[in-house]
Amino acid sequence: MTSKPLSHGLPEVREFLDSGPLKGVLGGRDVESSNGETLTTLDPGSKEPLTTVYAMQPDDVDRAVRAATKAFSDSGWASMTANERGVLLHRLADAVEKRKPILAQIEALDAGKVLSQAEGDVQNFVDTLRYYTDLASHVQRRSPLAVARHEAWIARQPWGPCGFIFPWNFPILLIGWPWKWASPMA
Amino acid sequence: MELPHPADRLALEVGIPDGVINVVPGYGPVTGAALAAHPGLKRLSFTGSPEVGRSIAEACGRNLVPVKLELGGKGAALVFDDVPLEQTVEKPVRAITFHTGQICCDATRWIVHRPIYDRFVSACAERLRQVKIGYQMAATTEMGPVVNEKQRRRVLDYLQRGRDEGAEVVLEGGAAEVPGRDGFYVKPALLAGSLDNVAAREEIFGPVAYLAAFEDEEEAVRMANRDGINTTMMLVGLRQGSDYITGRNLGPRLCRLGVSLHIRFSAGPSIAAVEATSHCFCRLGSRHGLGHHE
Repeated sequence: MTSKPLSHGLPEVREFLDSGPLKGVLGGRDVESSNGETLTTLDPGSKEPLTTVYAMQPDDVDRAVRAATKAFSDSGWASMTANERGVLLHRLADAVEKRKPILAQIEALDAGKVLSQAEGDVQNFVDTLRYYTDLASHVQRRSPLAVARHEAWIARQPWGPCGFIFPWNFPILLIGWPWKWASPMA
Repeated sequence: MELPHPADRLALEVGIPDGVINVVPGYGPVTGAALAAHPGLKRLSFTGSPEVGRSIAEACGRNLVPVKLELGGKGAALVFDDVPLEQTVEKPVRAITFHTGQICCDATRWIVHRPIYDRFVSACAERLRQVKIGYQMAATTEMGPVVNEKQRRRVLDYLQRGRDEGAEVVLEGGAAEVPGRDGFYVKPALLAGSLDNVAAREEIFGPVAYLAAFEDEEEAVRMANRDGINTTMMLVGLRQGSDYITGRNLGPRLCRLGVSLHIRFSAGPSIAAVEATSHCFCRLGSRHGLGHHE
């Protein structure tokens, strides 16, 4: 996939777009769609193709849910304390923040979003992720209940595999928002 | 438009275990539908249009998977006559130009107090005429394209239908040309008149606002609260700010029954934003947001 000349294009952005067709991530591995189908994504400001992406099929989705289910029971993520998960999530927030110029350019090119607004979205993702990560470590996991003749409490349990479908208007920002994965992750 | 984000690979780099985050890009009707219908999920969250949201909710309902939906709306800004005009214009203008108006919850119906209606409307039209439309990567651009041809057609069609139904054209809008770039550009537009107009009832998802005048607060509340419209609200120009809202019980009266109310006070004492999240099945923010995932 040859890249088009980009205004203000960072080399990392060009490299990312040139590495198409872009793969999904399943169980920690980069994967192609099961039938090889790809879709082309355009820059809305120029109608030029940005890159191609593997279009995942229902059986790929099934494998993804299985990978998440396995990670839920085997990876240790669900049984870590919120603090332990918090360390990793903070590292993620830091890693994203460090790459903000790159991610903002990709977002702006992909969604047609004004570059400064895309930068705001990436920062919003970072801030929201940090906020919920910290909040999670202060939530009571068990609260006592007064029930006659019983020892009782409310215990918060992890949900299990969760699915998220993101829209095209605020892709990275909504990954961070509370009803996306920031709070389930934390 | 759905790039698998490099941020997801970053998760693996920082040590989040394999399989905790999986990324499945694809077409909505194929990939999204398959995910929504998967019985192995314990929860699903979707952000998008109300139409698609309904089919997602149906699929999850069949599998008894709890679902959280963040859908579209037709937000309203109530502009009272005590606004400092020049400062205030910026906010509703931004509501329809930020990300070219492609936001689920911003104000796209501007309900303006009669005494200031003419001045407010012409000030907004003037400001909108000055908005610099351009390539989204250029530093001087204030407003970029809409995301694709389908969305551009949608905006232009609504403008046509609104005019056909008798709306007054305050600012014409339409397709925009950007020198040297062939993209999905549209100009901001303002229509005005009866709130029965299709452009006042249905979400356009572009840089278009619909204007109407109100005589008194009761009428403003009625106009904002029309049945069948999912609404988030923005209250603009209140003398007493938050006291006015709580004292006059304006906030709760703006929301339909069964809707959770989220009050947020934006920059400046004269501007308050009241968001009625009727398009969400959940509460937003802080512990409530966290609580839904525990």
